[in-house]
Amino acid sequence: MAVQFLRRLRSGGPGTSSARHPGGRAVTAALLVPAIAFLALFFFYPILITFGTSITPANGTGVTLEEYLTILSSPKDWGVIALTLGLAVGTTVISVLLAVPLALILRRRIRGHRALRLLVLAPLMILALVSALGLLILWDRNGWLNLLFSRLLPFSDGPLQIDYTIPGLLIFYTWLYSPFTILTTLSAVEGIDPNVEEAARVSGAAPWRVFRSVTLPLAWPGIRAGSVLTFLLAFGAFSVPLIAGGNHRPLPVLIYTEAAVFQNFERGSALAMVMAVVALAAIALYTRFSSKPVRGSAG
Amino acid sequence: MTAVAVAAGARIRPRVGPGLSRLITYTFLLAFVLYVLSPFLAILVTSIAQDWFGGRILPGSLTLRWFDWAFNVTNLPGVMANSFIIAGLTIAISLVIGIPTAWALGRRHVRARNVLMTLILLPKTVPPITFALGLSREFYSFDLVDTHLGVALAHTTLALPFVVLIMSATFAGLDERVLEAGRVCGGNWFRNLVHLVLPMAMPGLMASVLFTFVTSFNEFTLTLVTYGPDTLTLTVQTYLAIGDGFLEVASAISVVLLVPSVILLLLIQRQIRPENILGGVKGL
Repeated sequence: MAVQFLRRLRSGGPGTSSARHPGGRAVTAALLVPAIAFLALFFFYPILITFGTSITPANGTGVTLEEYLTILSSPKDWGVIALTLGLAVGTTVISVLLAVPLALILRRRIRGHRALRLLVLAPLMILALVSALGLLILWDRNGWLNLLFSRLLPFSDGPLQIDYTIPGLLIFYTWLYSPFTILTTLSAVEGIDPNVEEAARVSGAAPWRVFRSVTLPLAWPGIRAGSVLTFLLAFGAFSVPLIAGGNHRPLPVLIYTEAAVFQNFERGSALAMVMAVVALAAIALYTRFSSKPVRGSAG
Repeated sequence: MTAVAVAAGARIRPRVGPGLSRLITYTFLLAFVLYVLSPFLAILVTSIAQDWFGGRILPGSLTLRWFDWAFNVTNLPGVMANSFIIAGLTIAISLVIGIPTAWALGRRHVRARNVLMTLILLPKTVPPITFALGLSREFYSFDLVDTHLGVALAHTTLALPFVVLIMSATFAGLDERVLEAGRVCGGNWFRNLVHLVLPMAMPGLMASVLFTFVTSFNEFTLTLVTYGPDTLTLTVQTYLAIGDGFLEVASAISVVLLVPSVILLLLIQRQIRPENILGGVKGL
């Protein structure tokens, strides 16, 4: 798990004293230069270009905050930001609700749990566009699911419209991005010492109370680590809403449309900067307020 | 949340209503399996379907026409070659740039290590679209648009953080005693590197290669802003086919795209624990 790697890294591996290594600081610096130079050139510089474009007026000279003021004063743009955040939060919540029971089941190592684990990985390995295409075909008005519903619910009026709606996008996003939450939740739940839960049970705690006061708090770091990834990916989703969003255009689609279709690079760049700021702020808030699963919990 | 409670209850007190909780558990699992698998099934059937119109559960007849179209009309072999060349270049660049930095971060004293690591991981934290516009403009001025190297450089921005992350953890975890033994026994640094460090770092190296490949092979956003007629990749070709409304042809291309992913999935399941690979995958 990435977070564990990172933690191990920060604690400093064995033998990190510079005295043991020939060359000292100069060699260390030389080793670090390639990656830093690369990211400066192909990540930070492009962001700088984007920022520069966003504050340059259309005629090319001077500095202006016009694009930002337009965005901030436009209810439509606020709506887009709210839609993007709402889809990301919704996907994260559904993913956690899916991940916790699934992890509790897989933890018991039921028959076929290996195949199920492989299945959880599948959406990660496959191009989002391909899965979106499959989901579009599946949830189509003439798709299998609507055929199924029409047989099961003969009294319903007409096929369900799922494709190109917000619930449809949530179904698609969850399919694509929940594996991150599921995998970290699973590894956290499997890392819990069963004796701790046993102790709570023997002490007379009801199953729900064992779950809420023992299992959930112990699994929470894992749930949190994965759900951050789910949130980030859902927030930045581009290809899926591009082909499956219909009239719902989250920020990445709007940015791309403004820049590539309308050639309005200034507005596209300003939206991109707003998006970066919202993404970083959302992560900061999430890590700040999710340090405990339930605040004020006794035990 | 009732499902949660039931699942937890089922595990903790199997004696209370075992039949019911088992029923709920397996219904839940079945629904999950169908939810994950059905899009693949839909694509497979669509890619060989003919006469599949309203109300039919299965197509009227089957055809390989869409694969024929995909191979001949959209020049699938050429497009596939582009995808593989770009992925290969991305792997090479990411490893050459990432490994020295990972070694420094994993095994040497680096001041401001946390700040540095945060900066290196930043491209995976902000959505690619936020720097895609700037990257596109930069590539136009450097003449990198529509070159294999250019697209690979764009993909490397997403692969490099993962290579540095996983390789520095791998290097930090090398068994000090083995390295010490190598030194004591008089091996020179090159011998030690080839015979000691390389075998021990192999799992991390494999993970880096596999996930750099997947990142590049599947990357959409950064390909879309840097590709051109000569560097059309499978990802972009699928998008164009969907955009043109040829869902059958798009499905046929998708089936072709699925093959390497499925092979990789099986490889990874054997070689690496799934929990260890999260940072590297990005389904955008």
